[in-house]
Amino acid sequence: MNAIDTITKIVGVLAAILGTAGYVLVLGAAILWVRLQDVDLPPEVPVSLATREELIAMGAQAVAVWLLLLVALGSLAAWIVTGDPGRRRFGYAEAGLALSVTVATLLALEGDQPWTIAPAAIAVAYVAGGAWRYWPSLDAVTAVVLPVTAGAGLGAALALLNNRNGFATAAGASFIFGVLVLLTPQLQQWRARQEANRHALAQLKAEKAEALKPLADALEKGPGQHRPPAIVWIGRAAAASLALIALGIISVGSQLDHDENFHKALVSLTNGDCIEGTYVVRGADQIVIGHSNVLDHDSEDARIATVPLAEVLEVQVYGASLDGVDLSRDKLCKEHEEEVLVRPIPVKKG
Amino acid sequence: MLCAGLLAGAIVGLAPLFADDQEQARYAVTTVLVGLAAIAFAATVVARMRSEETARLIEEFPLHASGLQEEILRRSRVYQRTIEEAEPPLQLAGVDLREAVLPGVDLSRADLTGALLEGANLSAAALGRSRLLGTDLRRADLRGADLREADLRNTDLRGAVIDHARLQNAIYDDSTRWPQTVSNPWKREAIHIEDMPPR
Repeated sequence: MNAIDTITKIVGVLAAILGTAGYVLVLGAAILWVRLQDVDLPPEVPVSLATREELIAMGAQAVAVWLLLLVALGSLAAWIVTGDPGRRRFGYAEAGLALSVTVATLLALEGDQPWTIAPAAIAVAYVAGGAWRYWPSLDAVTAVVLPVTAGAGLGAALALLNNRNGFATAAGASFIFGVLVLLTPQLQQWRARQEANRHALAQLKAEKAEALKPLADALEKGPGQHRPPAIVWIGRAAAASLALIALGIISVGSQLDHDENFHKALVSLTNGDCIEGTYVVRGADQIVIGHSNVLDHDSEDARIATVPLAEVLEVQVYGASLDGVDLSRDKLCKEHEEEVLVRPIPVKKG
Repeated sequence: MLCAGLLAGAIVGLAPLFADDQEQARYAVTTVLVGLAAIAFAATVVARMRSEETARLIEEFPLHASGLQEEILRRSRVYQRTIEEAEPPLQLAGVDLREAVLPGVDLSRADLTGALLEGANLSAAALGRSRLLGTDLRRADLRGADLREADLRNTDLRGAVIDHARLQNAIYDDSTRWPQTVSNPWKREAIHIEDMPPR
């Protein structure tokens, strides 16, 4: 490996890290925007003031669970794709079975009539019976049973986790599972073709037949050999962008399922006063707290306030994530005497 | 598929009209329909497992004792050439050569079973006695190609240009899809599998 290769790889890794951080930051900003709009607070000021770290933390928290799901289901898809398609068969019938069992389980457990899961259960039992009777091979049976089990488990977990307001989460998870199971047969075929091309190429090279050189060249270049490399890369970039946009929409959409995402905040100031409110975000020079309409949905007092950090002695953020609290000033921290930990040093007169 | 979709949509739309709680009824009907789709997929998967087991049993079953002897003998006529022939000189089964430019290439007796040759330029190519079972040759340029005695069962030739291609004794079956320009393959002296003379 020469120096240019090393530098190129380092630059590539750095660009990927920066790109990922930027993506997560944008997600964090979008999530904050959605949350603020949800409680009738103006989103522009907090989003523009929020620090990069805070937005990245917000975005990472939302996207992490989806990435975990993607990795888990992607591993299952990778196991199927890397197998011999003849033995580890996963066609559209298997994909359709896994997807329909997932959706049926989710719908049945989310609804008020759990008996409606019966047809899906019959389908699973029928496949299990068929596998037991005909037993093509362990690989073949596992390639059918594992996605069905994963799908049913996913459907049940979503139904249990999101028994209210969980539409976006359920739709997002079903979408990811659906895309993966429907892409897997194509990927498996693509991989089998690659293997066939490699095998044929090795055969041609061993025979050293000059007359078949154009065939060897065609096998080496692969399909679509006349497509300019720039078009190929644009296509790949578009596919990656689409995947990231879909993941972003799902991550932000799942935040809509939450009732509220703001804690209480108690700010003690250098002048000895305290301010209680809903913690919104921290900026480089300000802290943003608000009066949301969480407690009173018809309240017209929804507003945000920024407090310069230079005037702040202490900030306590506490309570459950769905608490929030009305914005109020507490002169000399009389109402919060016990809770305020850092107080200004009294100025001695004379 | 379209009829099934329309029927499912009609059921989901109409069934709740006869229930007290229409929302819940629609939910339940949708769930049951998705479950029924799961049963249909399960039936397909199990049928495939069964057919694989049958194929395995036929392979293992001794010919002389088999009640399927006639069928197997009929099939053996189908395969007689390929069975009796030596190993094909080129094993290209399943390769992806879409849009490849291979005019005049010699692929005679090559095994191209299940290969993707969509849009490939195979003009004047030698494909005599080649195995093209299930090969995708859509939009391929086969002008002047030699396809004599090629096995074209289940081959997809839709949109392919086969002007001046030689098709004498090429084998085809009902699942072979021909280009619109070829309405009667037997006029080009290709042979339907059922018309193959017994040995």
